[in-house]
Amino acid sequence: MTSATQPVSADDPFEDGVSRRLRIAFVGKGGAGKSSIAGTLARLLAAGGEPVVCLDSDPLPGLATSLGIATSDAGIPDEAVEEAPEGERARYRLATGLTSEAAIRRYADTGPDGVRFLQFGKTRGHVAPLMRSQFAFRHIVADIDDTPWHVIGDLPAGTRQPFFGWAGFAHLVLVVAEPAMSSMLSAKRLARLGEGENAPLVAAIANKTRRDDDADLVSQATGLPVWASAPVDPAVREAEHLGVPIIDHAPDSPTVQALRSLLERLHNEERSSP
Amino acid sequence: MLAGMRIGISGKGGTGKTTVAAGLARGLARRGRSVVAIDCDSDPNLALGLGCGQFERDRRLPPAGTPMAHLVGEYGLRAADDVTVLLAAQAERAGSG
Repeated sequence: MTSATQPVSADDPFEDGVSRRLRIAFVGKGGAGKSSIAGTLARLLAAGGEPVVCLDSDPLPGLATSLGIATSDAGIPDEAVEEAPEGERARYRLATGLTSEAAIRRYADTGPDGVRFLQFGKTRGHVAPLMRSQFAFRHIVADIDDTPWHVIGDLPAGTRQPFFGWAGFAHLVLVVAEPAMSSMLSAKRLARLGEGENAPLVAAIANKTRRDDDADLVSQATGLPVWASAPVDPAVREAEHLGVPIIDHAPDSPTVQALRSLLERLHNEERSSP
Repeated sequence: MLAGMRIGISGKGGTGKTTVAAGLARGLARRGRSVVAIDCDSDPNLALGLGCGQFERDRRLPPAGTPMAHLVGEYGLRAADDVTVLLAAQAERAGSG
């Protein structure tokens, strides 16, 4: 088996088709730092030559900024789906002949370091115009395990999407939590994603910590192991203020360093798992 | 008599919706108004912001169609400054909601 850390051409992800891929969903309370962390982790992976696709199912913007992609609100074009025959559960299905892999190559934007970005589109007033795009997105994600991409998903704040199956692609759910009561309460609710058969592994990221024992506090309050801890970081605030990726603005900031360590850990977990 | 105000608060995650809502609710209540604070988030934290530390244990969600008159009296949680909190929804586990 090829090591997951071995550089792979982003142009030909199949080249390394045998290695295991990361399938991570980021969840958590609003403002905890999901998009910042998801985007930065994806960029770090991509900078190492790995093929990465980011999934943005948030109807509000965020992830594209932390990746450094100037994107529009537009979702996946209507052509990606066709009406399902009568009697099928879903109203639309992927267009005949279109696989998840082909759809990602065709419809995902390309950002710095070759990172790819797929969104179902941003809400502008009424949500109905995005219906076909949402079906396309969900169909692509449903079969994403058959593709050679590392998958980093950024879900909207709260529990609704995660508990309705939008994190179903993930083998690992990372709950981002601040050491604040409401943020940890949300994280504790989200920890239930790890219950039941075929549930993903769930771990926490303690973000915006101020004290040495904040990571322990997050672990105790949520019942989750903390896999990474990032302190309150002025560089992150600056980057967000400017609307630029953290990894470009402050590549050596404590947050980026914490995520480098996390990535190393993820690669080690991959290697040690059967 | 003054008509009751109906205020909705929205915004991006982490900007302070719940904090503003709780502050407004308490401020109005302290000025003698009767206030019902409704948390429409499926990941509700407004009760926590209003000082209901035990709301996770005490909360009961009203069944759909519960008449308005019963909502406040039977399902409201008493919070700081006599604000009544109603939880509209809570997604708890896979497939719920």
